[in-house]
Amino acid sequence: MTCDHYKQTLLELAARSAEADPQLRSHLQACSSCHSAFENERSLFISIDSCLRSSANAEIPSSLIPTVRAHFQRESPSAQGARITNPLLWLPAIAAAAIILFIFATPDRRVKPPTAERLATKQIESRVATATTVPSPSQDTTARITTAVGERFADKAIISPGKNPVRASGSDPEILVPPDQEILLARYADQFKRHHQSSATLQTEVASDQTAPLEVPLIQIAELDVKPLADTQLDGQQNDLREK
Amino acid sequence: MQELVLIQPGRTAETDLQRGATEAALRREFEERLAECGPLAFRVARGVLRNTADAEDVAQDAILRAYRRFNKLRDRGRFKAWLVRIAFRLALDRAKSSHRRQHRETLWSRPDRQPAPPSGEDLAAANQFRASLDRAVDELPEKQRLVLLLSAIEGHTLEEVAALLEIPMGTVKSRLFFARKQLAEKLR
Repeated sequence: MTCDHYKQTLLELAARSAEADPQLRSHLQACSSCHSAFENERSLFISIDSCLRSSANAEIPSSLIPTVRAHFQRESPSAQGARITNPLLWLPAIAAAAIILFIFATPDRRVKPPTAERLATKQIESRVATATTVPSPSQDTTARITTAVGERFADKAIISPGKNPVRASGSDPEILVPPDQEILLARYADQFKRHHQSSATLQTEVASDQTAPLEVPLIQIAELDVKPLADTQLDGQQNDLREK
Repeated sequence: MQELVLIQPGRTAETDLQRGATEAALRREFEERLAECGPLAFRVARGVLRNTADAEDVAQDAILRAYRRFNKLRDRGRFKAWLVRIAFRLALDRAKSSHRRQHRETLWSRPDRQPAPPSGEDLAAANQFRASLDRAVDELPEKQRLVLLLSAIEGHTLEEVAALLEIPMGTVKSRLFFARKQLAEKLR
């Protein structure tokens, strides 16, 4: 066997940390180069092992187990269950749910882009409008107060009882107001309703009186003093002559 | 048609009591094992990360994960191997993320501002050897690395490592041999 073959075997032997067999041992005693190579390899593995052991067997921190136990206390299922059944912890969730419900129950007040199409298609009737619906005396339609939100209608109210400038469909007249003027318009509509009811009652009374035939007394003329036109002209001429 | 369920407070309290007793027993059992396995989890993490603070974090995380799933572990005798694997996996993940962070920092830092090497030649040589060894260990395949680490921890014998990892003794020997051979080739 050559030294190269022995060296390879010796390296593997050192890696295994095993004992050399008698044949190899006799070669190591005879060959100094193989012996030194084997010793170098063994010292290398000893260094590796000592380094790995010192790194792996570090001192355990004293806080490791107490910290883990504290985590157990916090994470124990019974503590979690108690937390879940605690009504105080549910209060914020209930309050948040109530706020969300309130927001979604009220009319949509979000500011939308002021496109005419969107305003035409997505007008949302406010509750004020239903409360202040005014019946029209001439036709059986209702005047609706519709909230138009947007920059276009933010600073002014467009009241169009006869025609709708935004939505042409439908025969119902609409009153478009910004949201901050809804209450004022509702009051106005209420007053208008009351006024209109009183005028409607008066109109019905007048209408019932008009059904009876109209009786007008005849004009009576007692005497007529009729003078001929020519005499008046002569009298005028005589008067002129007298003055001259 | 709705079904009405009559809630019996007595039975609910009894169930809660039973559940509480089961939880207490489970926790007691876990804590008994924790005294033995907690340090091992830390050392596995320390062997991978080579940093005590990071290793403590990882070990705590591993123990908590094991605790949360302890009731699902059918064979409680395998707890130690299970915890070792969790700790090893978490430590590898942490090491990968810290390597990425270090790489970023290295790219941004200027080389002329690096600290000077230690003056003592022996110290420098020892540090250099350790750094080379750490790099070589990091480059090992995960299976070989775990075997090497466990064999170095607490003077575990090959039989103990085989029992811990639930693998045959021959597999442990072969993995350890190839790991050491690869380390020596890189450090020679």
